[in-house]
Amino acid sequence: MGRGLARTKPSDGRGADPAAGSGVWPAWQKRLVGAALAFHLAALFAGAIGSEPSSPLEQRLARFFTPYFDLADLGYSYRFYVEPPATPIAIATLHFEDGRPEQKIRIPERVVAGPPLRRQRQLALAHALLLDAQDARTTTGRSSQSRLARSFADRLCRLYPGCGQVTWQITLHQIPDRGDVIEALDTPSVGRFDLFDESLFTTPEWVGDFPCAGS
Amino acid sequence: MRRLLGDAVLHTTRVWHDLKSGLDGFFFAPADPTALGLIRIITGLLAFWSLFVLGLDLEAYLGRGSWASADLVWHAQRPLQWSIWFLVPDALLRPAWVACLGVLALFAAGAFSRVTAVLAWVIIVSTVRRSPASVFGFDQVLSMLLFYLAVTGASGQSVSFDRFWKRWRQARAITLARPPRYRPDGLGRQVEPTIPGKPRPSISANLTIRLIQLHLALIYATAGLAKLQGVSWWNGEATWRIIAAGEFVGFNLTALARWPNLLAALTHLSLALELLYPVLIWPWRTRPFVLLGVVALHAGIGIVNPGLAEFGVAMLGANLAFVSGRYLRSLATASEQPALRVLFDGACPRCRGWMALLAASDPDQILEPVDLTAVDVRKIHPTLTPEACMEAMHVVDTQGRVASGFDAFRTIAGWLPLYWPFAAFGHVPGVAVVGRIGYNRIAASRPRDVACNDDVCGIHSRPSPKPLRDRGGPHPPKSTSSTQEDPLRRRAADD
Repeated sequence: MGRGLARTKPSDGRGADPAAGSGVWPAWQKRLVGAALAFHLAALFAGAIGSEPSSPLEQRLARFFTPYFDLADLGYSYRFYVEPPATPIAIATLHFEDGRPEQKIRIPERVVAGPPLRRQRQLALAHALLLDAQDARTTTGRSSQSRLARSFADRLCRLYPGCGQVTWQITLHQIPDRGDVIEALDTPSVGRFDLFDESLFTTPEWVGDFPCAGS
Repeated sequence: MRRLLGDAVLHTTRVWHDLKSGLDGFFFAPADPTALGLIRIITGLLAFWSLFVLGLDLEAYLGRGSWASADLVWHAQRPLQWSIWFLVPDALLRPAWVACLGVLALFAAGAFSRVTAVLAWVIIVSTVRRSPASVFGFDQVLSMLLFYLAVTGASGQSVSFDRFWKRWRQARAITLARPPRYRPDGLGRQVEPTIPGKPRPSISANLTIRLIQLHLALIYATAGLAKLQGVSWWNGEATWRIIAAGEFVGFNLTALARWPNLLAALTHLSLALELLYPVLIWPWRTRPFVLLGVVALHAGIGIVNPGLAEFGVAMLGANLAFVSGRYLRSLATASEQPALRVLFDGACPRCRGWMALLAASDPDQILEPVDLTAVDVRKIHPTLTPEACMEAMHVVDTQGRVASGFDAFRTIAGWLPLYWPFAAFGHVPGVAVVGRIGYNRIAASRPRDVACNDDVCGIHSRPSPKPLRDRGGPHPPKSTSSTQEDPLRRRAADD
């Protein structure tokens, strides 16, 4: 540990790997790479500060680098867990034309076989649906205009032949209040607090009804 | 006034020159690429794993009728966004997925690393772009790391198949050389490559490491600053909100609700770490503490939220950019080198071939190959005899412990990171029994260069199935006289 962990002080270049190029770069090469570095680092900074909330200047700066972000998949804001949120759960209700009872699909499923990363992808799907529905409501006034909800519904229509319509709803799985949890834990009959207690789910909010093609 | 202006200009000029010189040293000084090799392995394995898991629901994410359909994503894309998955018809989805996994495996191994690094980046970015509804922070970090590894082309400069292959080919050529090549220190036939094992510093490695370092500093800074908007990071409830998010957590930790001060401390420490990271990660005195904090943070998140474990591993892998190559190598090597002296039969082509392989896999020279036909083995260890050494390969460690045959191979495997899985397998009950039988059979039937017409060689109880050949060439320099100085010690003294 200590000094050993720190990166070694760069040498003078005499030991540079010939296969990796010369130990000392010519000035023109340094200038060229230096300019590219300046552009890249400015772009990273602009991307980090450019998402909401941000000033018009910051947004304008981020927009300038948009082509670069699009090409290189950069420009993220990395604002993880600003406020650990309630988790959106997408619920699809499948209506069958042949008289079968309605079927409900939950995204993410309560239990997903396989590695946790597989369920994490489903959590991301539900989150994306929530954002797209909110965006559609903001721009058109109707969450049913969500193109992602339409696409999700189309997939379910294909997966479940005979399905005439898919209704999407979104519920939020809330985080329990710590005081409520302590109160519940103090109750002699409660061994442990159930994080999937029904009281933690908000009333499902309707996103839209999506008829299946050909129905 | 003129004086003031002159001083201002002079000061600005000095600052500019200092800045230029500082940036030149920061970006364009050669650096040890060892950390980069490890980052490549971690990133490659994570990319492989990510795509593999996505493949469990391949059609649902990358098919035309996926959750976010191909048409929808295609039309939502901006002009410069791209993805190769749009070109893959559903019928070829599975073969393309398998091919992509193959590329990612090659990249992780460091094979054809300049090409596979670029392909790996193309694959991961394509996947992110094709399935934007299923991405999260892990994909952003993965994409970032692959971008730097691809752009600079430096990822294969260390801990890579490319490097191993180059050294092995050279070592094999040396063992097959006619006339035979001998070590200058009198230890018999040469089996080691002359290409240095330790990777040499390079500017491209430094650029990659610096870019990853700066990007990490930006990630932690923005993550920390953004959290200052959140009330729960001020009132200490954020950790509670993370461990009580039912959809994410792997364990029910709600009993911690009774420990508000602990939860608040974890919240404040996490925030402080992210805010201070961009400052305290640079000085070498504070860096180890910051790195320990980062390990604790991401390990904690990964344990509480198993779905974010890969994200944590990616961030920890990226943080290797702040660890020196020398320190990383020291974790896999002994404090005293060489740690093992390996006595092999220098007159046996097969033995030389194996030693060439081992030497090529040993960049830090943990092993010292010793051709037993060129030395007095008793000087290496008093319990060794030429007869026993001719029957099986022997290793002697710095503590004076001796192992032979299959056990010697297992000992060597335990020292070389590349063969750690074999060492672990060798300890499975029963494997050693079979291994020893197999080794002894192979050793007893090994071919040799010279005819078996002396006392030492005649020890073999069973004749070789192949005719023993005398391929000519000069005999190894003898240094077996007990009056001679031990060549091993002489070499150590030279060092």
